[in-house]
Amino acid sequence: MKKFINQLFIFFAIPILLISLLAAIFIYYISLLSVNCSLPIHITEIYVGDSHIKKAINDSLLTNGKNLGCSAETYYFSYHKIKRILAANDHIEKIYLGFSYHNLSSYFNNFIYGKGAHALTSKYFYMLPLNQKLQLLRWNLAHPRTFFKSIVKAGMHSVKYQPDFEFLGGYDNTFVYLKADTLSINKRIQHQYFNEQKPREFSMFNIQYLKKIISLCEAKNVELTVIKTPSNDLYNVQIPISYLNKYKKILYENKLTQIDLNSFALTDDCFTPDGDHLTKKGAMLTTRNLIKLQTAIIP
Amino acid sequence: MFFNSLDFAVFLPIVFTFYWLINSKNLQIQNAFIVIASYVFYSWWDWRFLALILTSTMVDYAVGRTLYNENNHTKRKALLWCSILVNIGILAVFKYYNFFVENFTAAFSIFGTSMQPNTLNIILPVGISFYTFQTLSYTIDVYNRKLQPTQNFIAFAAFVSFFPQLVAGPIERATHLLPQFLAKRSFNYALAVDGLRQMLWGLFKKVVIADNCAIYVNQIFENTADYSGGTLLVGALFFTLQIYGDFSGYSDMAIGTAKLFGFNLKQNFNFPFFSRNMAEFWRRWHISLSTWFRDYVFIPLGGSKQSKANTIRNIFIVFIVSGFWHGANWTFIIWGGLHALYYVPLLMYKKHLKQPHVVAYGRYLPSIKEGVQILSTFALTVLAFIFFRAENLTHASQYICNIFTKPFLGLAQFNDVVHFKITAVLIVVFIIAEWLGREGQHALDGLGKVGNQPIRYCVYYLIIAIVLLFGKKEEAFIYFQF
Repeated sequence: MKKFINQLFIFFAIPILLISLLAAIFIYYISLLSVNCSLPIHITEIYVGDSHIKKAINDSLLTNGKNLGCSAETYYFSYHKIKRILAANDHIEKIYLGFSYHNLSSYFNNFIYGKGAHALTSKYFYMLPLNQKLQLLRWNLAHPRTFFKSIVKAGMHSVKYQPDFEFLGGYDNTFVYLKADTLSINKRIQHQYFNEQKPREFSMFNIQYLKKIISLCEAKNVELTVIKTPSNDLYNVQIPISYLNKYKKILYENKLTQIDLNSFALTDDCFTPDGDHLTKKGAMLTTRNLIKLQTAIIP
Repeated sequence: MFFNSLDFAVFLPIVFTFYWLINSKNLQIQNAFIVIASYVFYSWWDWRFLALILTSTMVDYAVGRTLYNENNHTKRKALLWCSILVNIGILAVFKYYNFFVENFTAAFSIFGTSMQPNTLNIILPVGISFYTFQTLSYTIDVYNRKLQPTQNFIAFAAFVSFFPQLVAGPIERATHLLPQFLAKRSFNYALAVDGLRQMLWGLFKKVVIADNCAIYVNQIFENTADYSGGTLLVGALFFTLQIYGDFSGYSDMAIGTAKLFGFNLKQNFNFPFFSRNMAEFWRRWHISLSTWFRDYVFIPLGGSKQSKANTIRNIFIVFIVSGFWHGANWTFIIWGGLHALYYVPLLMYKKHLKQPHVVAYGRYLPSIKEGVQILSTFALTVLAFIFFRAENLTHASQYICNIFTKPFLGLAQFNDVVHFKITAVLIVVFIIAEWLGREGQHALDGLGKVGNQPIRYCVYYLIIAIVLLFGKKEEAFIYFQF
């Protein structure tokens, strides 16, 4: 029996030690690579946010701006991403951060440590500082196998495509011939703002990291402007009043400069069925509207 | 609790440690501990159905004891029927009631009689077909005076509920397993190591082969009309590999687990796809069930020692009942019937007799004749398994019809081509490993004889890596539904 236990221990200890060592080297190496996320020198403005930014700002129309939006990106990851980018790029002068009502909802917490978060969050693993890496591991302990698989995949992606790291995101919109649809909008509103017919709580975690982004930009002397990307009217009228108020309060308390792209009228075919993402056509018009606004503000 | 689950990965070491370290000195405590562990294992799925196991255990224990002391033939027969009625009754209610009601209703509707049947809205208790057959065999053996009934209720309860084989076999005989519960067990290093080896191979078969094949099988069988003849054939082929990987994988894990606790269970699969004819296939496929039907149905019916007509009748009865055992659906009955059709000519021409050795014994490759025999037997098996997987008879006949009538070429565009290719490579590796290991109890059996420990360890690590990288997560075992 003693021999059996000893042999079992040796059998498992060898690969565990070996894999741990290799993993540590691999993580260290990719993390070092991720530090070097330098952007072209002419890029002085970056657009950070979730899929709303990713789908809305077509940066091929911008001269000195780059879209770094990532689907389902929470402010926790945006904060670390901005920190990493500012450290590697002295030439960044301005950050446009996507900030809409849905960013306040607790449904966003699912994208950090909820079900399915492991697939979304692995791409950020290597750019996080060590203590946050451990935190991310802890959040994903429920799905160890898929999480480890996806961080290995993300690491390999970094090696292959550096410096186009996955966590940097970018403009991507293939939505054509779609339009806003009442049923999908209602479903989307329910999903984002309600839980069992009651309004969802605010995500204090996301709000906390929004404030951290504001402080970081102040500390680094980088101008921060928040952008509200367009959403369909049918969507807008269904947003709970508590969210509208909270949104205004955050803008006011933090003295945030805001660009509201909702002020430009867009037709239904500029939206995807859910009413809060833009189609390719919508992105084109919105980016042009944004350029108009920027040139109006800075003559 | 599935063998391929995290729950079991925690459960097994705990039970193993307590079993050997704490209870090794007292057999009665050790058996009681097995009973408790087995009931916990079963309760993980649904504790309410423990009542059925307990009923079966108590009835057969009591009947066994009374039978042995009873000399009156009528009373003995009555006692035997009592056990049969209780066990088959449980099966009939939970597994077959709705099937019979629906078919009677359909039959009456042909004659214009409309009926509103009362079907039962109940789920099928996991493993019911396995443990009822196991307890039945005990009573029948006591009735036939082949076995002395045990006086030890705890040992009997452990025999009925032994968790490694409780939910999907092998269906053990009391003559083989019960004495092991009554004898003092000591830890056997070689047996335990071989058990782990067998478990590892079983896990590979289940999560790598069966579960990866299942992805394509489900896709193809659920959209039969959309695919070419060639793809449908791939679907049938993959299902044959899936069911083998799934069920023999479970059996390997069960036998391996039992070895860790010092028990030897019967071999349930003996490389059936290397059989040279259907008779050999049935000596190698689900051995514990086929021998059960041979001993308790075929032989009592007269076996093959009667007229040809009666022998053929007996064969059809055994195979059809065996098919019906798998599930209350006409597809299983036809599957059984097809195998009877395959078997009868062999019996008539006396080609069914046991070959002394596995194919190409002592050689690396089979002869051309053997190769043709293996392939033709496999093809017949694949054809029959279409009925096993199909939703109903119409689906099965449509499937077979489409294989031959639709354009053969043009493999389907699966969503993940890389995954399909990886699955195909893994299947080839699996078949080679099974071929090389066919002279042992399981494919990795021979590895134990390799003196070089680093080579052995490398093979184990490689299999573990494949399981971790390509294995699917906690898919249920097909045979749990039987």
